[in-house]
Amino acid sequence: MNLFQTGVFDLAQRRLDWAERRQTLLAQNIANADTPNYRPSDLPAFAKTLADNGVGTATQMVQTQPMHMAGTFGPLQPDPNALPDAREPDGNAVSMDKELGKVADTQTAQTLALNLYGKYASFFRLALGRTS
Amino acid sequence: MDLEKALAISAAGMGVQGTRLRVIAENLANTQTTGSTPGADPYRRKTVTFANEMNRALGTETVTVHSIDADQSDLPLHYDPSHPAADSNGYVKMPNVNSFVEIMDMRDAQRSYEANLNVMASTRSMLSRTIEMLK
Repeated sequence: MNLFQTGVFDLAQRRLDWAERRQTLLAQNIANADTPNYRPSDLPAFAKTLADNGVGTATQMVQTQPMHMAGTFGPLQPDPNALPDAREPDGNAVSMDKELGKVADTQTAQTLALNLYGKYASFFRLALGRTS
Repeated sequence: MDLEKALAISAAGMGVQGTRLRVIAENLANTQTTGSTPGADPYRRKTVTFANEMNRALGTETVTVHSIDADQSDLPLHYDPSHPAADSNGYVKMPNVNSFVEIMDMRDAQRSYEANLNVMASTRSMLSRTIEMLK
C-alpha cells in the first residue's frame, strides 16, 4: 500500500498546493493594488478544482512533439471567469479588504489541511506502536 | 515553491510603495521651490506609475515602478514683485504641489505598504507551519 495514495494524504496534499498557489496570486493582487488597469485574479474554488481534475490525476499541458517546450504552469490556473465588481478611475480593480479577507481564508484552509495531515500521520504512528 | 514566490511578490510590492513614499517626500519638501531667475520654471510635482511585470528569474508576475513623470498641470502664479524669479508683471510661478493631495497619497501608500506587510506575515506563518510538520 502506498501511503501517499491514501485518500486523506492525497486530498491534504492537493489542498496545500491549492492554498500555496492561491496565496501567491493574492500576494500578486495586493502588490498590484495601485497598478493602472490591473485586474485581480483568483483560483477557482477548491471543490471545483477537484471536480475538474478528478482525484488522482492532474490536468497538465501535453507535449505532442519532443521539440516543443514543456508547459511551465502547473495544473492550478487562475479562474478566467472571475469578474471584479468595481474599478477605480485608473482602471485598477483590486479591492484591498476583499483580498485581505481571502488571504486570511487561505491561511485558515492551509492550517486545517496541515493539521489533518499531521493527525492522520499520527494514526499511522500509533498503528506502528509508537506513541507521540 | 509557491510560498517563497509570494514572499518575493510582497517584497516587490513594499519596494514600489517605498519608492512612492520617496517621491511624495520629494514633492512635499519642494512645495516652495521656485526658480531663481526672472520667469524661471519652479519645481514640478512628480508622479509615480506602477506596472505589473513578469519576473523571469522568479517565474511569476511582480510589480515594478513603471515611470516617474512630472505633473504637467498649470503652475499657480503668486504676486511678489520683489522675488528674484518674478516676471515683468511681478508674478512668480509656484510649484504645482498640493500638500493635501500629497498627504492623501501618503496615507494611501502607507495603507498599501501595510497590506503587503500583512500578506507577508501571513505567508511566513504558513511557511513556518509547514516546516513545523517535520517535528
